[in-house]
Amino acid sequence: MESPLHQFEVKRLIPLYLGNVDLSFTNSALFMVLAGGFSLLLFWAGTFRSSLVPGRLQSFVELSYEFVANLLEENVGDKGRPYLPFVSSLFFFILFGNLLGMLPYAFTFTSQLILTFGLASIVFLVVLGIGVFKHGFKFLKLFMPEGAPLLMAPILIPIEIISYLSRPVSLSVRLFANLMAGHTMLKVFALFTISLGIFGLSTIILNSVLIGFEFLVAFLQAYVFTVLTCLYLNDAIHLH
Amino acid sequence: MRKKTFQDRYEKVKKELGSPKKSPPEFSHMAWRASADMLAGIIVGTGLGLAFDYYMNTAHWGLIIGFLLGSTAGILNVYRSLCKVGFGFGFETLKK
Repeated sequence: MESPLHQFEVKRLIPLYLGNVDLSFTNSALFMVLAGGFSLLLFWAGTFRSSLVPGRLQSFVELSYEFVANLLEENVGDKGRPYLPFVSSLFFFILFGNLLGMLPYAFTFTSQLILTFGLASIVFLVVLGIGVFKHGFKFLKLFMPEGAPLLMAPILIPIEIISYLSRPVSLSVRLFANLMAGHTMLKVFALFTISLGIFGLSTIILNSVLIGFEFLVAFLQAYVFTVLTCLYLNDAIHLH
Repeated sequence: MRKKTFQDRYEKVKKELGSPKKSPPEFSHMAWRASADMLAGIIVGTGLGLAFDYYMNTAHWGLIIGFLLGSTAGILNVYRSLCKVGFGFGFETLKK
């Protein structure tokens, strides 16, 4: 019987080596291209013939754009507006990755820890860069809580630095763990369906409920990733 | 007795429900979030401690201190993320 973890295997579709570096085009890369392509296609098709009174597709595109814009406005405020392209491309990339992963035979690239960690590191570095660029030396005040006695600094500062460095880890682990757990669970119940024979009907019912739940998780995790990105941006821009 | 207008009833229902944004998120989501925060603190703290040991040859002291600091940072992470969604208590809630 197939292992429930078999679905997360990365396969080389087009092997490509530059010296010792493995640059092969994998199924993971294929679905990343598809996710990027689909989100571009959606926005292109929605704004292709833009009219004053939007049609179905156009209003869907406008609503999803406003959804991310409002998210940024609520969490960061007016000063966050220049970062809308960054935040919204992150949101749609993750959302389309999660949703494409729900198709049968598709590969869910957001269930790979290395990819989510890569995305979270990009967020971390961008936020760090914005903070240092905007506030310069004052940015280090983030690591010393206001009003704490100076005597506590040797303990407080390492704790705050570790807490700050753990942001990309928790951001990536959250997305990865949710997607991986959900897809593994679906596969486990699907395998039970075969081995249970006539009683497999119960697992089919359970699985169809779980699929609905997985769609919720797919959207919710993209949303959570974006909200946390906004919160980190807010910390860097406003410094308490 | 004054007849209840729509406005009165609307205000009453609004007061009962509170503002929609402040409704606490589902408990299982909070558990997921808290465990990720806690784990992240421990992983980063212990990792930094181990790396310090490896390069400075201060065997085990870095691991011990790093683990303790990391656990503290993990608790701090959980505390902060709970405060952000309205489960807060203690000094963070007194700030505002």
